[in-house]
Order: sequence, then C-alpha cells, then structure tokens
Amino acid sequence: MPYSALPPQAFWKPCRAAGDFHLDALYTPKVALRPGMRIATAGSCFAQNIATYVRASALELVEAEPAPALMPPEVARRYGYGLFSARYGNIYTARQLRQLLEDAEDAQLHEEALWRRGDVWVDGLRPNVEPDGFTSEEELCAFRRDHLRRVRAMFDTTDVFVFTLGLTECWADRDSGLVYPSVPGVLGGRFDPERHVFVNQGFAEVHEDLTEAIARLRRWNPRIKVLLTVSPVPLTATASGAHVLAATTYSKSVLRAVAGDLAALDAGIDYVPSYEIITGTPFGARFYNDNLRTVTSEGVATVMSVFFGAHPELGGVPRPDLALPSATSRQDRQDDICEEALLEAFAAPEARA
Amino acid sequence: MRLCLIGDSHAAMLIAAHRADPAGDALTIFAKPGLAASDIAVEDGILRAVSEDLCKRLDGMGTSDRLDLRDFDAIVIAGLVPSAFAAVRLQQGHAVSGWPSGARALARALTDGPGTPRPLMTRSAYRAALVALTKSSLGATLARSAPCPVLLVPQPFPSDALLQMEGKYPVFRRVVRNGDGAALAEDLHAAYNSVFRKIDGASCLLQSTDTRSHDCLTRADLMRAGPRLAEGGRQESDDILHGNATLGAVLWAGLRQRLRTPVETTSNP
Repeated sequence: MPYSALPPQAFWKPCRAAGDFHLDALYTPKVALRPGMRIATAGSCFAQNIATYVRASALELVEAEPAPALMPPEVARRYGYGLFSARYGNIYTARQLRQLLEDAEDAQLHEEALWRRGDVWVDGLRPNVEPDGFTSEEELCAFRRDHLRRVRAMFDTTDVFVFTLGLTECWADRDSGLVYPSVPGVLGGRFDPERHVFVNQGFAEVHEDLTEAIARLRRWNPRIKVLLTVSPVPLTATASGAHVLAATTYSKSVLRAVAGDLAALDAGIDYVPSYEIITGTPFGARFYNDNLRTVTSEGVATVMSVFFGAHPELGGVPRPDLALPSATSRQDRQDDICEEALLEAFAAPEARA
Repeated sequence: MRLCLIGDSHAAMLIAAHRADPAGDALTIFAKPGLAASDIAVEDGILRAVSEDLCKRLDGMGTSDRLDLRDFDAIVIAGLVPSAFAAVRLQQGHAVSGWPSGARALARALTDGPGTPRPLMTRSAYRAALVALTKSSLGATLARSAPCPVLLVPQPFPSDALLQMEGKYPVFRRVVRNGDGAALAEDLHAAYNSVFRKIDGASCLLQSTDTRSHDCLTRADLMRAGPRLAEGGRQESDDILHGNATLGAVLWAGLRQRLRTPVETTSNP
C-alpha cells in the first residue's frame, strides 16, 4: 500500500501527538546552504526578517546599498537601509519583481512613477525609502538609476536569492502596465481612476512573472539558486470586493501554489515553508500579534529555527518552546464521515500511539 | 557665575583659558578623557561619578564625585556629542546629494556610463542620522536632565594640520578636496541645533567661522600644543583633535556673551 512506508510526518495524527508537530521534518532543502554563501533577499514585509537572521548567521548577506557607517538602526530602517539586499522597499508581487529586474537591466525610468507629494518628488516604485522625498525630479531620477545599477550588479555575485511572495493584488498604470507597490495617492502621486487600475493576479500571471524573473536572473548569473517563501501576513485591505479574509486566502493560495509548482519542477528553486509554520492550524494563532496580522518574534524565530536547522553547517537558531497542548479524546461534535481518515491506519504503530 | 564644566578631553582648552582669565566665574570641573554614560549617573539634578576612573580623576582635580547641579548658574558641556569625525564617517561610503560632490555624483548617475562608485545618499537621510546620533549622545542626555541652563561646546573641528599628514585622515582630505567642508559643517551644526533647541534652557555654542579653515577644519594655530586634562600635560605634537588655550579663550568669550543673554527655550520663546 502506498501509505504504509511513509514516515510519521506524512500523517496528521502522529504530528499532532508530537510536541512540535515534527517541525524539523517540514523542510528538507534541495538547495544546500554553506557558510559564506552570498544571500540576497527581497519580497514583502515578512522578508525583512530573513535579512536580519542571514546577517547574524554564517551566511553573507549581499548588501548592494548598505546603510552608511554609524547611521543608527532606526534611522536606517526609516530610510530603507538594511531591510533587504538593496533599497527597493517591499516587493509584494511577482510582477513587481519582474519589472524591477527588467528595469535594472538597462537602468530604465518610468515617467508615470515620478510622483509628486507637495513640494517633493517621490519614487513611485519604492515610495517609502525616502520619507522626506527627493528635492527635485533630477535627484529622484539619479537615485533611481543608481539603485537600478546596484540591483543589477548585486545578482552577479549572489549565490542564493530568497524571495518572499506577498500579494497578488496591486495597482497598475492602465497604459503602460507598470505596477506600483502602493496605490497612487497614498505615499505620493495622485490617484486617477482613468489611469490607475486594480489588478488581482491569478496563478498563470504570477507563474509567468516569477518564471520570467528567475529566467532573467539566470541569464545574468547561471549559478544562482532561488528560495521562495510566501508571506504569512494577511492583506491589510483588499480592493477585490471580497471580504479581506477571503481575499487573503485567495492571494496566499495562488502564491503558495505557484511557489510549489516552480520548486517542484526546478532543481535550482526551493520552497521554504514559513507560511505553513505561521498560518498552520497546529499552532493556532499563537504566532500572530493581537491584530492577528503581524507575526510575533517567536513566530519568526520558529521559522528561522526550522530554516537554519535544516542547514547544519550554518549552526542553528534556538527554537522557542513550542509544546503543543496534548490532544484529548474529547471532541465538541461528532466527526464528519471522511474516508480519508482511514489512511491513519497506515501510520507506523509507534506513530499512531 | 557659578559654572559646572562637564566633558571629555575637550574640556581642557576651556579649563586652560579660564585659568588664564577667570573673569569672576567660578568653575567646577567634572571631566575625564572619553567620558561615557557608564561613568556617571544623574538623578533629580544630582550628578554622580560611578566609575572608579572618573572618581580618581575628580579626586585629582579636587572635585566632589557628587554634585548638586542646582548649585550652579549654568552647565557647560564640552564635547560629548558627535564630532566632525562622526559626520565624516557617516558619509565615507556614500555621496551625499546636495553637497558639491553629491551634485557631481548625481550628474554622473544620470549618464549611461558606469555610475557612481559610492551609492547616493540624500541629505535628508544624512541629517536624520546626525540628529539621531546627537539626540542619543551623552551631551544631550545631560542637557535633558539638567536643572539649570546648559551650553554645549562641541568638540572643535580637527586641525587643518591634517592636510599635511600624508597617508592619514584620507576621508577628511577628500571632503576638503571635494569642496564639501561647508556642507558638512552646516549639517553637523544643524543637527546640534535641532536637538538642543528642543531642550528647555539648552543651546549650542557653535565654532565660529573665523576659527575655521576649509569650513570643516580648525586653524592650526588654535590647535597647536593643546592642554591635557591632567595637570600641566600637553597633547602630542601631531595631535589634531584638541584645541589650545587660545581657542578656549575665543570660546569663553562666546560663552560669556551667551550666558548673559536669556536662553531661548521652547517654553520661553
């Protein structure tokens, strides 16, 4: 029988019985990381944690736009330094990543992303990295071109690129298709319903954008490996018309499916299950803050303990105490009739206990 | 006036100048080279030395290791805020847009060539960093807990003798060569003012332009043979960090003028 030789982590019940849900077995890397490997990071807000842990590890974080020496950390963060490998700000969507890499190839600027906010200019493609804005259009353009050059160059020396997929929803320029990380009018620019359109990407679009982005990276650097993760942070708001919970489920499902599909078919792409650890039912909502949206430091530490624990040469990250409450036989209602539950019988006897 | 001088090695030039001309001001000295937050404690207007090193130094100067700051008409803080060296280090790996060299870097970034060797940094980011460093400095901490008016005398700009020191201070020389000295001094002074003007009763005595050269250096004649805090000591002949009694006298003139002027505070505009 196909299930009879499977390890305990293939069955829910023995995982439930284990104190930590067999987390160590959740991630079996295809891409082995060794001390000194150069890691570049990008993605949504949750990806900022990866840079922090990589920096503290035996890996080397690629820093294409490092914070100035002596700049206090809180100032550096406010100005977009040190959050990722370059000052691109949050890259929420696969389309945004693809667009950034395309722009980086030839330091391309987009007139529709040169925003105004009062007297200052704002880079519409990373509107949060200069909180006070730029003093002139010329300054904005120079900074963007400088940024793009450094983004392009950093991939030449990157061994592994870690990208965290965050959203499927974004806003785009109707004519050019350019996508923005935030809706025009919030951090700068002006929202124009005739010009700005809401986009909610589906599986095929995300798949194509990510595939194209990775293909470009490989043209630049054929040795580069890619680690994909999906942000467990729910949407702050949805413009899809759906309830935000349904929109979050849709968005994360699409991203998770794309990441899984790409990783399954490509030896140079791996998936790191941070999403499962944080959002999975085993730990309920314990890894979320009271807003049930942002992730606690315990949650981040748990993800990193699984990640670094799977790469023994890197040394570990201590895992928080995760003891699950023991399962009781009491249930609040009768189980649904479920043929799949019969598979439980194939778990190894010691695991069934 | 009864003045309390709290500071690091840069207090020495003020001490030397005061000895030469006390002008009726009684000066209590609470200083040691490299004075750090871990050396002192301030609570309810009481300043205490908590490190053995500082206690020993104070003993040598005849100062009590416990001062009630309410006993003074004003406090003078010497050093204890980010210096020009911090300002230079902060831009060492970057090109600050808005500075003369930054303007050239900006123009270069806009070409199709290889771009700028150093990443660009906005002047806003640069100033924000200087302000944050100043805000968290021991000088600002002391000023916030002082029960009387406070005057900050920052570390002087280094001596322009460094321009003759081949192989040393290359970044400072680069700042001067690029014509960035004025911008650097302006940003550093703006950071001091931004922090200290928000502290009730506090103000800064910024180094006047006639004591400077290249805007961000001090004339060598005002830095030569600077005194040490230790009685009778002199700085090394190649020291470029410390002002001498002449600079101290210039600063005292400014201090006395300022002390006779009501301090502009947020509560007393």
